[in-house]
Amino acid sequence: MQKYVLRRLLLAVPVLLLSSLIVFSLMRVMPGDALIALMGESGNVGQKELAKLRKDLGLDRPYYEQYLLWLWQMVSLNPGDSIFTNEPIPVSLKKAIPVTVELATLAMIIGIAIAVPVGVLSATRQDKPSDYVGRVVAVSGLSIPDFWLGTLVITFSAIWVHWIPPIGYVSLWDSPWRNLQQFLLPAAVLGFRLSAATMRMTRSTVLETLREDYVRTAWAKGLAGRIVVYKHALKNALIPVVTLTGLQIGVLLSGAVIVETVFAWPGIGRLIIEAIHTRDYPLVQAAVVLMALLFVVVNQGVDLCYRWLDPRVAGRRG
Amino acid sequence: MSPVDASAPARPADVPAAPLAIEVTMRSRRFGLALKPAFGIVVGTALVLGTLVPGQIAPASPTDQQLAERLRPPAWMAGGTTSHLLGTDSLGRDVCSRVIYGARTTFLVALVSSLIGGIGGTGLGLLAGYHGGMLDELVRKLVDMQLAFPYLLLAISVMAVAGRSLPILVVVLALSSWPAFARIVRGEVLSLRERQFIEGARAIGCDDRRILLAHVLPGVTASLCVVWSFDLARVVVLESSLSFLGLGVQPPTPSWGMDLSESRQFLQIAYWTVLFPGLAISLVVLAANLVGDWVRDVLDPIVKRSRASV
Repeated sequence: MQKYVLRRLLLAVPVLLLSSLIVFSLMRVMPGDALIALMGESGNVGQKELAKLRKDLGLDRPYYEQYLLWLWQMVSLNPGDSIFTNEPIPVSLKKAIPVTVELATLAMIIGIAIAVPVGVLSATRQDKPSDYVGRVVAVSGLSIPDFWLGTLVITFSAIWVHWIPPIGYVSLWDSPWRNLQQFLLPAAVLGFRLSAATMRMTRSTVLETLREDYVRTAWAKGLAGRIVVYKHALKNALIPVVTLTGLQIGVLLSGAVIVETVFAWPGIGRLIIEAIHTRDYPLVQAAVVLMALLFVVVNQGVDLCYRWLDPRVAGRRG
Repeated sequence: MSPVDASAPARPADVPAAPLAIEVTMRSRRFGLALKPAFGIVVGTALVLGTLVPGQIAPASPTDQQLAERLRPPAWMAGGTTSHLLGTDSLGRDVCSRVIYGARTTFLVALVSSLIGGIGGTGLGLLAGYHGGMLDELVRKLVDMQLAFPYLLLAISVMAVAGRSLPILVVVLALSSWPAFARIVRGEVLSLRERQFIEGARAIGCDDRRILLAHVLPGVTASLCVVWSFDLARVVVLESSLSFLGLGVQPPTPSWGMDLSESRQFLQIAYWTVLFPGLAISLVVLAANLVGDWVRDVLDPIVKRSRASV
């Protein structure tokens, strides 16, 4: 098991290196120099100052040197300062990470809390009205874009229910109740989006499992329906659902970028979008690589979790 | 009632009847089977019309600004006029016309990107599955790597650096499409290439290109249809997300995502400016998803193996 964990961790290194390389080359090789873009907008910077600034930022060195230098800065947790706000990048990131992590975690909990019960209900009452309702909810969850849903939810909660979440972000530790109120709407929008695919997956795997011989045996033994469905069938049916949840982490992080923008929420997603608009490339690079790191780490976690849930996987992969 | 159910022990009415799951209400299923493509055809026709002849349908020019008429409500509300059926936006542009012209942007961009990505992915999947070896290994690694990264972030970075431009947008979207195609096609080809008709084709002297294009490709078209309709839905959402973030097409080209984002601040006083573009996106994505579902239902035995793509 230890060997397996170690091997998985080693596998994550090339993925991270590759993504850092992609992000770096995008920022440098693409037409349009970051510095010219930055300074060009103010319009009154002379060639001399530009050259000096370029030298200070290390932009006059060859690309491979810049890349290695940047990689070293990232590894040593010192990616420099934002060129727009002059705040050290780790400080900005440290403020944004908990917001995104909390949003993603809550969204995932809400998503699963909607998806699994509705999926099971849909499967056990196949082709009944409740199944149709469940399926319509699922397919609309897949089809309604999160930025639209978010926008509508903000407005209609204010107009119809006269409820506006408390303004000004407070952390979970300072004021848990206020914080949860603030997170409710964004996490619900993101969670609803996530729940759609999970719901469909739960429905189809539960349907499949219910047709297995061992479930028929359980029925034949005279067990109560609830026990057959929840204890016998659901346990096995949920294994593919866990895999899907793992695969959805990419959707979750992408969704967080959108939802944070819609709700003006100070997470990593919004930080990236704002940094892009202010052409703050060091910050964009660092934040995107951090997102990739977060993604790879969580993915590895899900993989290990999966192995623990389904011992057959361990046997197959050795 | 199936015999299995008759022998099942008595249970309270609210307990789900598992063996009943086998019994299918044929009528409702047939209804569903007819409803899904019908919805797809209606939305598809509207999209094609909006793409080909928007000028004939739209009541006004999408970029024509009438500041005196700004934020006018839809025709059925107090203060609305029939000359602006769905009202006007903050610059006095006709919302109905923006939505109709927006179809062209969204549909063309999504269609072209998804086709490019689909053809590339299918080609790579065919070659990887058929030849195996190093190429197969490489394609699989590339697919895994790309799927192991939140693509929206990459798309955002590229669009931010390259600036808003239609060709780059298409490339970015196409690059997001290919892994799904490559993965599914490769899996199908792996089992197809062992079949006797392929062996027969080889025996009568077909070269690899002919075998792949004339014998293997038709065998994967069913799965391709399913993947493609889901991919189209995904690309439409990705395109409008990028436009929403201000990283899609260049204004004033009408685009649903961008219109929605620009009108967001007026939502409280003019909900129609946000409602209709969003509704258009949702309907198109819903139609593509439903058609994908329908094709999968119809082809179930063939496509079941690729269910992991949900």
